[in-house]
Amino acid sequence: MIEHLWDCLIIFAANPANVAISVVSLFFSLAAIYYIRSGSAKAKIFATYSHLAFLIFPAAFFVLSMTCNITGIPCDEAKSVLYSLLIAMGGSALFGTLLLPYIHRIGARKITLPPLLKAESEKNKIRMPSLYVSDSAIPRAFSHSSIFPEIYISVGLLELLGKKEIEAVLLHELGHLKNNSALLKFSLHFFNHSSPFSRITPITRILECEEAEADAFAASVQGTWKHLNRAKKKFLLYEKSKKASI
Amino acid sequence: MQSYKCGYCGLEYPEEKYAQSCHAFCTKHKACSLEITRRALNKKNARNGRGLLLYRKSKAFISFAAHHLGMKSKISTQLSPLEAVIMKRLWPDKKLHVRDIYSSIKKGRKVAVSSVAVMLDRLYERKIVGRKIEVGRGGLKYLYYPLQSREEFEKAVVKTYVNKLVSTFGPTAVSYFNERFGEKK
Repeated sequence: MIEHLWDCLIIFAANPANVAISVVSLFFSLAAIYYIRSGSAKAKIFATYSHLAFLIFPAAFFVLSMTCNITGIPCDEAKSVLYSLLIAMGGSALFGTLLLPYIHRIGARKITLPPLLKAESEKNKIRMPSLYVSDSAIPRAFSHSSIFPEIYISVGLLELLGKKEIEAVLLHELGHLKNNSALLKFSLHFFNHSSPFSRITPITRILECEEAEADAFAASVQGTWKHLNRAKKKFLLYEKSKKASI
Repeated sequence: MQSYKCGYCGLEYPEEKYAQSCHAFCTKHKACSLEITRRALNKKNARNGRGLLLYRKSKAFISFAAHHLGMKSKISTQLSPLEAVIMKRLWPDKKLHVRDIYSSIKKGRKVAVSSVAVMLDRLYERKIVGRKIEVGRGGLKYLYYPLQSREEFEKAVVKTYVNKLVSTFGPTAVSYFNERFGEKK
């Protein structure tokens, strides 16, 4: 099998057009990393998938251009592996995207969105999110917009934080929805696990920047950093108490 | 003649340094060193091993029982100090929110609301308290309530430890209980 693939590779590389297409594809793949590092959120998402597509393209091109003149059977095997890999990746992404909201909604209660958030959604032209409260004593909040934009907070968060602090957390999540951070996070994690070039991309720094942008959005709406900082302090204190109690 | 006793195995030595080295070895290895016990005055016990074994077993039993059933209060044997304080607030069949418990505790001791929330969550996970979501002023909140009465909880603690003692020490524990409760009668 390996010998056969090696022969196929030699035949593939003997054609200058194939080599040129592969090199150009890899060049585009590397160029996309530049936009992952410095583009806007939407550009980052687009660049991430472009990078992966251009990275996979030479391999896919090689497999698809393999002719079965040498022994016949392994070409079909290689092609079927490629097709099943692509179907599995696409299928799991689609299945996850469709299923994720329903998984989060298990045991959660839908509550009305505070008027400030409604006003800010309309003002910033963000699709009106639904607000859910999950049955957990651990204070946490997250948002996603896989099908519909949704914000989730826990009962523990409502118990721990004051009214203004809860508002700050909700605005922070609205900031994430504005930047489409959930998709960016998913894309970057996918990139991290599937691309060899993820080592030269500062993924942690990009994610930190996203958090900082969401913080800045919340602070700009409230006109102060006080509530957000106090909420963060309480989150940290909870974590500290939890660690100390073990 | 003055003798010095090893605190772990009970062997006696003519000099203090031997007793100390025996104690250090016994504590570290949970067994005696033949090199050291050669100097012991009552080394017969050490050589045949039976006396030593009985001594160790009974001592371990006593320390185990003293640790778990002795000086400490019944509540604190199963609960951390803060958990015990929280349960004292909840036990008179009360249904309380985190903030209510926090405000009643904070007068007596320095505690953060997050610590109370963590402890209540832990008690909930251990099925000592139950909780239900209540819609109140300021949104959704948990209402915590005890799942067992104080007496039921204490009985469960005693049952757990007695079972542990019997499974660990077997006949020694049973004969001890017979002696102990026989005396009382």
